[in-house]
Amino acid sequence: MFKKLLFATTASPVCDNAAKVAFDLELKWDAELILFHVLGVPTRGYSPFITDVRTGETEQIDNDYVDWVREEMKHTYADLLKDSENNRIEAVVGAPHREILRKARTENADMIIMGSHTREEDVGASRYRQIVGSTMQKVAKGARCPVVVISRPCTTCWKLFSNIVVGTDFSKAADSAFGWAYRLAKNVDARLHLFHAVDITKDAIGADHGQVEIETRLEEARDKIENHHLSKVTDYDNYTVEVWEGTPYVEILKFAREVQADLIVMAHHTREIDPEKALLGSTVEQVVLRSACPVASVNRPDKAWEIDPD
Amino acid sequence: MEQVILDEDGGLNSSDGRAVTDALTVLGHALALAEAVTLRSYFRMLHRYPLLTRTSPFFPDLLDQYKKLPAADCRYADCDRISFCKTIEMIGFPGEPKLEIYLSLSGCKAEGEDRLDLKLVPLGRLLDMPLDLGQLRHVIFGDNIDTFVFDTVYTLFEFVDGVAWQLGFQSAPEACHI
Repeated sequence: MFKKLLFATTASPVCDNAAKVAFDLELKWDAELILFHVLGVPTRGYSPFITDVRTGETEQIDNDYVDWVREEMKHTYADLLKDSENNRIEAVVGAPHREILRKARTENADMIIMGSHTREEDVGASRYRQIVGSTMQKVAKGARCPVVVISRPCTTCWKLFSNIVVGTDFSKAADSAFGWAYRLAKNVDARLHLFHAVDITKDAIGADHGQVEIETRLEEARDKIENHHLSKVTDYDNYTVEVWEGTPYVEILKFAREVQADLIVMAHHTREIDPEKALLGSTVEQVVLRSACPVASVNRPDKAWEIDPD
Repeated sequence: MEQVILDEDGGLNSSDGRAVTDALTVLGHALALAEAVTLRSYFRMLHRYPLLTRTSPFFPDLLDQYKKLPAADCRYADCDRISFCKTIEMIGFPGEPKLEIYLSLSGCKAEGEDRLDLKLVPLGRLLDMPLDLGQLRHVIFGDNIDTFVFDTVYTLFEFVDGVAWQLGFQSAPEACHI
């Protein structure tokens, strides 16, 4: 199952919601949890000065400073660390996304867990700015393992999850997302909800679509789900298939609420075939910020089909 | 700038007291709220002027939720009113320096500047909260250290669209499946 979890944290209150889920998962899966904080970007090369990633202020860096940051992290997570059995706290200097990806690769992490922003944000602002943090975008783009993003308190019980929604648009990346969700559902005996939203907004904004046309597209989508995904399902029948029409992120959020989902799994911007070029899709971004439950984004097949079903 | 006034019952009137029949013609007018306007008045307005519901993808779902809620006493004890605000924010770090202008909806106490995030409060506890149009906050160089506050006006479109956008973030489940 999940043997190694990488929790990439700013060690500030914006990551508190993600921290709770990360520690919960460590206990649930009996995994090793790495609490990983990138404390600043060197001002240049191997400079002894760093620019703090949150405040933008320049600090002098040495071993004592790093130790002090690790101590601070222990204080920050003191309550959660009390129950934790297998964890490591690490703080490094560098560009946050690069260090997180490097760590995930060298440790062969099974999952990266992070919050959606470095700074406390006003959600109303997200319409006008890059909707999720740039570190999160870059990590999600480059990671070979699934990235779980938690942007609000997890009011459902992910530790004991029973409903997993997987959003698909039939791309290669969506295959990976489905693969990961399927194996996970099989492992924990959760109900898997396979969902596709027929996007009727992108043809022409404001255009009215005839009922017949919509029905045809819904039927086509159901056929595709049958061919693309269900053909890979063996000896497992605890799943449902739903195809709705509308604005994809609105529909997936509505559906997740209806089935009381504990996890939403999606691929990254899935119309990009090449994962190297894929930025987080706008649908994923919108879902990340609005979802009541954690959202896992899966970009590559590496970890998707690796999970041992036993 | 011409003014349009939203009444408690969701009706829109021009400043000379005439009722508005076509909301599209006043979308760009400065909005004023009559006394006793609550968030429920916003939904009543959408009911009276259904054309407005085509401006945001969140409306069908929001209206479905609204129809299922009690007709009165939908209040949230932790705040005294809901305020619709405009913010201009200068951000110096991280990334390139930039200026952002956005609208938000937050809970306020009768006194004090503390703003309460409403995204975890279900709609059913907000409908009968008094609603007002707040002042413009100008945040200098991020992190809300230096903030100036100014009087400003909001157009009807900003109000309709901004509230819908903000309510689109409310997805806290009422109960856990387990």
